Amino acid sequence: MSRRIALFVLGCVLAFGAQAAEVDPFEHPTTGTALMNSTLAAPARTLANAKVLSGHFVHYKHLAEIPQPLTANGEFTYARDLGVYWHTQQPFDSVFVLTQRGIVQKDEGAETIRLSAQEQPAVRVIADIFLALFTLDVSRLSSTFDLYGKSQGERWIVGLTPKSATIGSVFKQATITGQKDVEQVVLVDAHGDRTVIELKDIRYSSADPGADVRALFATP
Amino acid sequence: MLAVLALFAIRVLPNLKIETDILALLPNTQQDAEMDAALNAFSAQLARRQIFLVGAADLADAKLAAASFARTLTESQAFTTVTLELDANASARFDVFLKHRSFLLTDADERALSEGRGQELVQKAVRSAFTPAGLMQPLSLAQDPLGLLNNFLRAQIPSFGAARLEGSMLVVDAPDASYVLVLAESSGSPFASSVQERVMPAIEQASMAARRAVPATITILSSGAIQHAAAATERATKEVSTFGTIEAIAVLVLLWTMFGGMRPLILAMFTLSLAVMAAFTAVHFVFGKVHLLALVFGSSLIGSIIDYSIHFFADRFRDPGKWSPLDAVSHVGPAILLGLTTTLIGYLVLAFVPFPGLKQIAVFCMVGLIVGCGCVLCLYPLFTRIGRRRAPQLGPRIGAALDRRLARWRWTPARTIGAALVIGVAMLGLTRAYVQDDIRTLQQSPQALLDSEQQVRELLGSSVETRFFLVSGDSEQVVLDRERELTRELDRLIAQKSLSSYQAVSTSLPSLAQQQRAHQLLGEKVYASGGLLEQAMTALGFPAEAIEKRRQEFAAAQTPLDVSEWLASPAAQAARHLWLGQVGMRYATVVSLGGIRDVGALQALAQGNDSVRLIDRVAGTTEVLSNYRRALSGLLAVIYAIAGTVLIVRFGFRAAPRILLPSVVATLTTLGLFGWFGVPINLFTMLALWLVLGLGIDYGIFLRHGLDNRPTAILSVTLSACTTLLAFGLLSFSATPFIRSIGLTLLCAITLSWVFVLFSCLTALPRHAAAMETQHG
Repeated sequence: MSRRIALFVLGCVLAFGAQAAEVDPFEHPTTGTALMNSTLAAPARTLANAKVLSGHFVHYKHLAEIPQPLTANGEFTYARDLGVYWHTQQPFDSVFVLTQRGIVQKDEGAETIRLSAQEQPAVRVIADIFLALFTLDVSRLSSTFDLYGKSQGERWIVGLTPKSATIGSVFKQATITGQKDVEQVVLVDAHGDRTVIELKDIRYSSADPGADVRALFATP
Repeated sequence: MLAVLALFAIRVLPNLKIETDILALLPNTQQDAEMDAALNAFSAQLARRQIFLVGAADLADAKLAAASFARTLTESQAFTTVTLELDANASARFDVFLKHRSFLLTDADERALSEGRGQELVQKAVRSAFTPAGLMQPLSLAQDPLGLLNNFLRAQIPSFGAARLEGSMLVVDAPDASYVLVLAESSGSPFASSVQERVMPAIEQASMAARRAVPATITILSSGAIQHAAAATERATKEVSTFGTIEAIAVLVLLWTMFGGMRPLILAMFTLSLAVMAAFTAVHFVFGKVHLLALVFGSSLIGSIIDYSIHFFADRFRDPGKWSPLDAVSHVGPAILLGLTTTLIGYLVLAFVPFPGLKQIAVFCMVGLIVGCGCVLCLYPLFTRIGRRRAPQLGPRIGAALDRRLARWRWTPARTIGAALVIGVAMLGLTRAYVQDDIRTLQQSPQALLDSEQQVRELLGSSVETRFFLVSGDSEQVVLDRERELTRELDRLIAQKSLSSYQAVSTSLPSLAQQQRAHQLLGEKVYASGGLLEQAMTALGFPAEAIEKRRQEFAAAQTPLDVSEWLASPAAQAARHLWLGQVGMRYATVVSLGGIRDVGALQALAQGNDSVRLIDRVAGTTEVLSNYRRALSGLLAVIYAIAGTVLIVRFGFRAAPRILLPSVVATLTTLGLFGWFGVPINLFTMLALWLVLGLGIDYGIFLRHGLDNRPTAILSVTLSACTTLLAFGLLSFSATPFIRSIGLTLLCAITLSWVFVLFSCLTALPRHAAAMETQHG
């Protein structure tokens, strides 16, 4: 089943001409530790020292009934132990802050969404996936997801499928591809809608997050 | 007699149910019996729930251990449900809402639509399509472009406190360990000993299985009523059997030393067993189960019935040469019967107090006392043989020695003032006496269990509140509408941080009127041509066919969600227990609460509104306990007055106070001493003083009756006091607070009664010293 979907996804990825990996990661089951030791060893080393990561992103949402993907772009900042600050700049200004506590979204300064991780178990799943993307700490995800991985030269691709049907009922699978850095994430939900996130111009800092960075997460 | 024995052995013993819950002793708090029954069922259902947290330093270990734990619990069949992994099929739970989606709206969305803030909804929906917030929705953007049903579905997810979903298991993180949540529901009342016997070994085995599953150290925390109840039963039965054994041995040794020979012992033990069995049988048939407290008071039977035996056999020392058992009947018989009468009056009054526990105690004691007394007066003369051996002289010597002391005692002014001062100061303690009616302090669990419970509460970040709202009305729909009004107020309290959460049926099942309003709003504002749906979908770039498809779906769904369909669907799973349904002529639901920070605000919501009530089981019981403590204190005074009248009729104005007052003064002094030493007073102190009343008056009557042979009367009363102290003094060492209360009260009050009654009945009072002198000299 997962193979068929994987092939379908691969087909979609190729068809839409997005940056796709040449291989299907879901043919190569693996474990978190094995991934960390082989496939992800090099990028994980780089990330291990980074305390703050920042860069640009492009967010595509592919929906079955709409021919063109919904595209957005902006800047993000990841700070270890704080969370992810996701600032969409185009087509409109929106700030999405994800922490262990939950999700807060502000559109043009006004808070429009607030989901607490405590009340919404699903929020924790998004948070886990998101945070793991930036740390490549896939061993942390191995309890929630079955892991797959493959590398070709410098390039690598990692696949995740949820172990439980509970999460499976809203989320089908994810692939993370990259070379030196994480370059692309593809999330496929249960309805077949696909979200592709591309990360660009990633900067690393091994210094503790400064006051400016902390201020980004200081949502009440 | 044989019939009682047979009945006890065949019918009673195998079916005997011992109840340990203090609450079971209490009357129901409400006037409405049907509503009470429904509320009791609801509480009972909550009490069956048990939460376990299986923890290890490494989450993977904790998961393996929890899996083992849950499997063993399931296999034991002691629990009806054991949940380790959450219901996988979330979409099945949502199906019924999808079917009726054109009638469902959250409160917030309904307000936004009716207040003309629809543009906000469109904007929000369009934006979340471009941000990660749009991820992980139960319905896709195409299925629910405005996210209205997604919002409704999200409100259905019950809160698990600080637990997060890890795979399909719920996990809580602590700094040094990760815990996996296992939820279980036992198959019967946690207070039933039969359920405890099945559940406790199952938990024990499951814990062992969990520890065997992984080499790492596993911590298992738990929270739930059953372990407390089981601990209470175990401790109480252990105490009752330990104390009972020590007490029986001590009483036997005492009797043997005093009376010599086996016959008095065997007769006394036989009488006792017969009386206790008759009492058990009566309570079993009248009430169906025997409460622990009746059992504890049952041991007071040992005191009284042994007393009758003691009075009977001690009579022998009056005239060891010529005594015959029939003499004893004619000599002590009237005193025993008079004592029995005053005691029975006391218990009879207790039997009419509308308090199930007290009724049980009263029935238990009355049946036991009558059977015991009958045995002593009818059987003893037949079976007592006067042995050739001389009766042991220890008893008479003690009696004589005490008598000499008392006879020589003179109430000099110094002694009178001294005694008055001591008693006066002790009684002053009454002003410092403090009352403790809180049920939680009366039924205290072992510290380890309380710690475990506290840890679970801290880890989960929420506690099970004992307060909840009861909403009632003349029809299902009225109840749902009222509940929705209440939850709107509760939402306001949550925003003010007075409350952290609530759970209500109407969140998942709005009333039909509410659903019609939602349907109308959706039709006018959302699905109409050029409406919000069209605006959002066009903005996102959906083709016209997709919009038309949504509209057709809306038009096709023409029926709202009704109660029976909701109840039958998996969607009701989380809230079904809150639906009390038809209760008598009315309908009712419960709104459960979490994290209450401002009780006053909640009480204000229920004020002046008969159909919305804030129920607080703990405060309710505390209030009831306190009411009954007051009622019993008053009744105690009434009984003393009745007993005083009986004694005055029998002994006249002069002698009656000397019989009655020692018990009264002993009672007041005991309470005074409790005040000085900081021992709290509660309902159970009052119950114990009830016993003191009966026993103390008995002592007076015997001394008065025995004036012609003072050493024998003194011996008899002293032995009675000793057996009672042995029986109850030991209860002072009980780890169960309410049993300890009874023990301490009796220990103190009986000792004082004994001292006071000896002085009051046998020493010459200052004014009558001369008269007594001539009588004795």
